[in-house]
Amino acid sequence: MAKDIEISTSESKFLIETLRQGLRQDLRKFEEIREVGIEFGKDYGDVTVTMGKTKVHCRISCSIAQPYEDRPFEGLFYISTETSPMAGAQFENGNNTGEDEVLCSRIIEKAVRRSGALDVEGLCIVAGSKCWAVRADVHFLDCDGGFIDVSCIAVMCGLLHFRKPDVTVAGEHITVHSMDEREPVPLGVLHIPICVTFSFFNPEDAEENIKGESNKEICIIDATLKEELLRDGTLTVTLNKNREVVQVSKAGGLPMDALTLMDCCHKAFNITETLTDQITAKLKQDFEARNQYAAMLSSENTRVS
Amino acid sequence: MDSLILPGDKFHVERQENVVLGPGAYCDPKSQKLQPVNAGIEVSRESKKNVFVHVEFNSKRYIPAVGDLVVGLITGSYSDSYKVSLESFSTPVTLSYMAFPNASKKNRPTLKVGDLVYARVAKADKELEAEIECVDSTTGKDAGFGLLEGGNVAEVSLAYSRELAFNSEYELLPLLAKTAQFEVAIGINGKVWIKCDDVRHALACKLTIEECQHHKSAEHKSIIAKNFKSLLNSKD
Repeated sequence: MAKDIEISTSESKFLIETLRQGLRQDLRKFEEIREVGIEFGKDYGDVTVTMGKTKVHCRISCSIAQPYEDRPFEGLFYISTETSPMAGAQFENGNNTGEDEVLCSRIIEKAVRRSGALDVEGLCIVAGSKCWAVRADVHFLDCDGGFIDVSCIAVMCGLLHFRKPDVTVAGEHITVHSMDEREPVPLGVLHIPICVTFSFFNPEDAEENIKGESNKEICIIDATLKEELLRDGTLTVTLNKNREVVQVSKAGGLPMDALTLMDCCHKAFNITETLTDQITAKLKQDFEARNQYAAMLSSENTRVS
Repeated sequence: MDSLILPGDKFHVERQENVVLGPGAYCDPKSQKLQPVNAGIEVSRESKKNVFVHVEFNSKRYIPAVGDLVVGLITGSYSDSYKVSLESFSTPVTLSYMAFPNASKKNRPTLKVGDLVYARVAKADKELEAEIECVDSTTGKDAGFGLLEGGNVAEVSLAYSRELAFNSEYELLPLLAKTAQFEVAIGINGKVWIKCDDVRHALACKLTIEECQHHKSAEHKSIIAKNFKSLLNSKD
């Protein structure tokens, strides 16, 4: 088994003490996320998202496959989230059975795939025999906490950025047009779910971990790796811009109030709004840069008029 | 003379005898030729008897060498020794119960798992677990080693921790001392332990040390001022 990062009692006490005084190790506010950087690659569906030191790369690809027999009108959509030691020595190669790793991939899966963010019916080519299989490969490049939040942004950016080749259907026969021949078509993205992770710290004695009566827990957004290792509880809320709660995930840890949950959702919504705006602005900017010569180029046939 | 040196270059050392090799220098046993094995700055220092040669270079993983002062973390205790980690994901080192001042079979040290210790590397052989000690083994007396209580740890690069520890002209810590009161223990393994009475000062010191490693010494003053200002202003 891969070893864990070791943290001394002095450091953990210091972290709790600073939190108690309203400070974080990187001087952020409790409800402040690190700056998110989105960078698109040369190809469609190639995106690198950074948040502080955390770095995640996502690549969307597609191929033609046979749909499931019980769902002939739906395309396929996979998300592959495999951690490797590239992100940090605490991750083992080929062994993604660690609790955090499983939880991370489950939450992304739930937030993006099961929330219906991608219109899978739009991937159908010929009902029951041919459909597009869209695949999102998430690569974790550097780990400084917040993998769930960053990879959710990366997958959504990738899906919004991706273009699949155009096809024409004539009966059972289909023709796939290359990107040069016909303008590729974007995927049908129905909404943009954004994950926001809250971390809870217990400034009191260990008994509070079970009872949870005093409600004095400290709640911070977007924990760094060190804060993630020392936290007593975590909550991931996934929302979209339409004020819809896509999922709430709280797997054990410090007990919390219903009111705190509501409060967290409100905080998360503000972040969701700013992030969604940032994503759409960045996408627009990228496509403008791609199509800067579109006005000059024309494929009109002058002979037919 | 300090100059850039690369593996395959020649050291600028004229003397053939009494040459003491430091990190990055290697003597080929067959030809008895001296050659650098790392890229970095060549440092040679001459005394009456010997010439000391080493290459100053930065690296990622700390490899224990005899005489290094390190900040270690106790990760386990056995019947006669502690297991100490000098760096996450590196091979642990041992700290014997007898390597403490006034140690005897009955007088056991009282360190717990998770404690930080300041120690000296006593044995570091290839293929063997390194050993560290919390006592000056020549005199058998206390030499400022032992448990580091409280405080916090700033993580810096290995080259920078050496700069802090060995370069007496390096101005950062004296500058920092003008602004805040602190205790410091510099580990050559890239861990700098700092303790202040005030949490805000402690955090500011930690951030300053971590930030200053990427900046020229001329900028240190402004970094200290910036960090302390932003922390003390946030006080409500």
